[in-house]
Amino acid sequence: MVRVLPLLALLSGLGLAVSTCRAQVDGVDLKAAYIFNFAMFTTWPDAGARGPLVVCAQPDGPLWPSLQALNGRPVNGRPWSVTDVAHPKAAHCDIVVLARTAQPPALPAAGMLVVRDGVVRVGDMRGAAITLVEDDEHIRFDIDTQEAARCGLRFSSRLLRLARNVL
Amino acid sequence: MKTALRRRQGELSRMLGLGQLLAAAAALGVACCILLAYQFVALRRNLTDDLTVQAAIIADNIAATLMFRDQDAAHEMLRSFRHSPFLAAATVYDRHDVEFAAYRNGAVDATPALLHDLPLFAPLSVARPVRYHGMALGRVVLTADTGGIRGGLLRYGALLGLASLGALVTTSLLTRRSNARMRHAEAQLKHLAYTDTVTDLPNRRCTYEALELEIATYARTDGRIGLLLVDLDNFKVVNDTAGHAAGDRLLQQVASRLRATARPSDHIGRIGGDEFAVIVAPLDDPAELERVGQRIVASLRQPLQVEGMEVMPTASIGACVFPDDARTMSELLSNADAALYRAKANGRDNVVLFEREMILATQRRARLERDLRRHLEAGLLELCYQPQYACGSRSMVGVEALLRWPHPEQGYISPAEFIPVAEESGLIVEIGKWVLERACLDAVALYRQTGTWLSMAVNVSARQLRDKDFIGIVERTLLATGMPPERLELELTESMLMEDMDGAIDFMHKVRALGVRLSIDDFGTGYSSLAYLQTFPINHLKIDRSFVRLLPTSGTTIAGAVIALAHGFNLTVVAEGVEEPEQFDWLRQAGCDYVQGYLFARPLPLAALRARMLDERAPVT
Repeated sequence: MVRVLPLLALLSGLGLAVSTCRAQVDGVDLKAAYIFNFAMFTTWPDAGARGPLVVCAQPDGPLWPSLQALNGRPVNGRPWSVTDVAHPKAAHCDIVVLARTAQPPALPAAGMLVVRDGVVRVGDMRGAAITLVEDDEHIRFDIDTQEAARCGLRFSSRLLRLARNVL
Repeated sequence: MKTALRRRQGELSRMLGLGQLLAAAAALGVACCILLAYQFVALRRNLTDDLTVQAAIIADNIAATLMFRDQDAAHEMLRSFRHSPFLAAATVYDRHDVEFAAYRNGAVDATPALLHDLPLFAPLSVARPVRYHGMALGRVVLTADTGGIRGGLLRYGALLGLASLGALVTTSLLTRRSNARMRHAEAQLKHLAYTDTVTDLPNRRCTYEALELEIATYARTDGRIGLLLVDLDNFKVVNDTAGHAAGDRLLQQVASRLRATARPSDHIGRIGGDEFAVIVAPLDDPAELERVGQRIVASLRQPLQVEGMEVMPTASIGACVFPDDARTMSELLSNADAALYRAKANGRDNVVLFEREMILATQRRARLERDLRRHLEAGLLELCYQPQYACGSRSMVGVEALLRWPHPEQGYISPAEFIPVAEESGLIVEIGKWVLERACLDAVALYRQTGTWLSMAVNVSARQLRDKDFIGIVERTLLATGMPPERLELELTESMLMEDMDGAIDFMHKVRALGVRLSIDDFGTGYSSLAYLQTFPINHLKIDRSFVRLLPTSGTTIAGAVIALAHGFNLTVVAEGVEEPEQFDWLRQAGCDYVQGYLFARPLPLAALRARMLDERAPVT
């Protein structure tokens, strides 16, 4: 169960048109917002890029609609653009959102931020720079800086400070 | 009275000093207020600036926690500002103005209620929006405790107070010193305004003020005051012959003698060049005033050493008593002056108490002077001539011109009465000029009518001798009248020669250069000096009538000595006032050259003189 209030605040803070009339809100919107915020605190190797920020996710995953809803929102000047991870252009993903059990790309390309929704086992976060976790009904996240460094990504210290664990 | 005045002045200057100090304190107070206000504004501004910086830091750092709704992290971050000395509260609101995180420092509650309520010391708040990459996330509100400002102001105020106190102390010291200098200068000016610098006695103004005060005091209590006007008899001689420094020394010594002689309660002041006033107050017995005056006269009669010269500073004193003789100050002064005049007229070196008739005498003198002036202008004065005879031939050789004043109402007025008036008023110069001219004209007319030249003796007054133009007047008169200079004889008195020896000798030489002859009148009556006689370029000596009157029974020694002396100096001798044949016989045998007196002829009007001349010539021819 996720607290409702922070969710509403967060979503409205981003200016997202989220239907708040539903009494029962899933954590998926919040998680999508988190992923959006991660992008805000991440520096990609190609800092001068002005094209769309390509977010790759599995259309059948639980986050897909929520991520889809963020389409067009600017992230440091680049429009949020959700696409199918299986799409041929997936190689050019800026963000890859993986479901809890999905396999990470065999070799994550440079400039690819891999976010995994949920841990398989405790301590196992191979292949993902950021792992979203539910901890005591709060959504928290772990950061693997080595993984991020391998992809040439740098996170803002402010993001690192908020992480539950930093590897 | 004097001390009361001085005390009042002292209070005034003290009040002045206090006023200056208060003014300085007020000025410092205003300056302190302005500085405190400025300091307050500056401190508040600094606090606001610091608060703004901190709000910016918080806003910057809190953005991520707001985005990820991490309240724990937000609290932790806010808590890091707990070391700020002034931050009382920090609150973060989200975009919907709902409190997201807050931090409160307990110190804000420690602010005293009294100051807390003052709007000046109300807590200071600064709000700042929280943004990230252009996204508005909420705002941060920081509240600062103004205790720091209060403390700063208190410290600054204390410093200003100390500085002001130091400045005031310095100012008061400086003003006290300058005020003291000013008071000293004022006192010096006052001293100069009221003191005679030569004798250090009160001056005329001060003396008159004291007299006025005494009169006012004793008029209420029916008491008496005595006023003595002391006039030095021969100050002018000392001043002219020995110089002003000697004159000043004389005045100083006279002043100290006066101080020593007068009673301690008496006021002494110098009210004129050689005039002093002694205010004797209180005066219980009017006779006491004369005794004080006599003591002064006696003390001044002692010789003084002035610049190596021995001077006898005799004085004449006029005394007057208030309220017996005068009821006002001006009356008192003028009556004392009348008494002084009488003292001078009585031969000086004495004290004269005022009497009512002196006012009449003064008035008569004033009237005489007025009439004399008018009658001189109207040509009412007359000359008559007393013949002088040679002892041997008994023939008339000359005349002495004598002034007569036939007053239309009072008859003939004695020269002894009107000549002093004329000398005092200066009218004598005009009269002398008229006499000289008239005498010369008459001598020339007599020659024309009788064919005989007479020697014309004309008396010269001291006042005329002092007139620098007198020699010119003689010269012009001789020219204008056609009088041969050797027929004119000017008669001087020895006392006037002694008055200004150098001037007199100078004049005598100039007159002799014109050819005019000179004689000394009244020889033997004054302080005749044989040494001077040698230096005077004179032709005749006149034996005074007071010696002649005694002849031949007594006085022969003096008369004989004068005749021998005159002949020794190669001077001719004229005896005046010869009334008895025995006197004439003695004089003739003693070798006197000329005689003049009732025995031979009274003073004659011009017409009678002419008749006598023609008469006396007839038997010869």
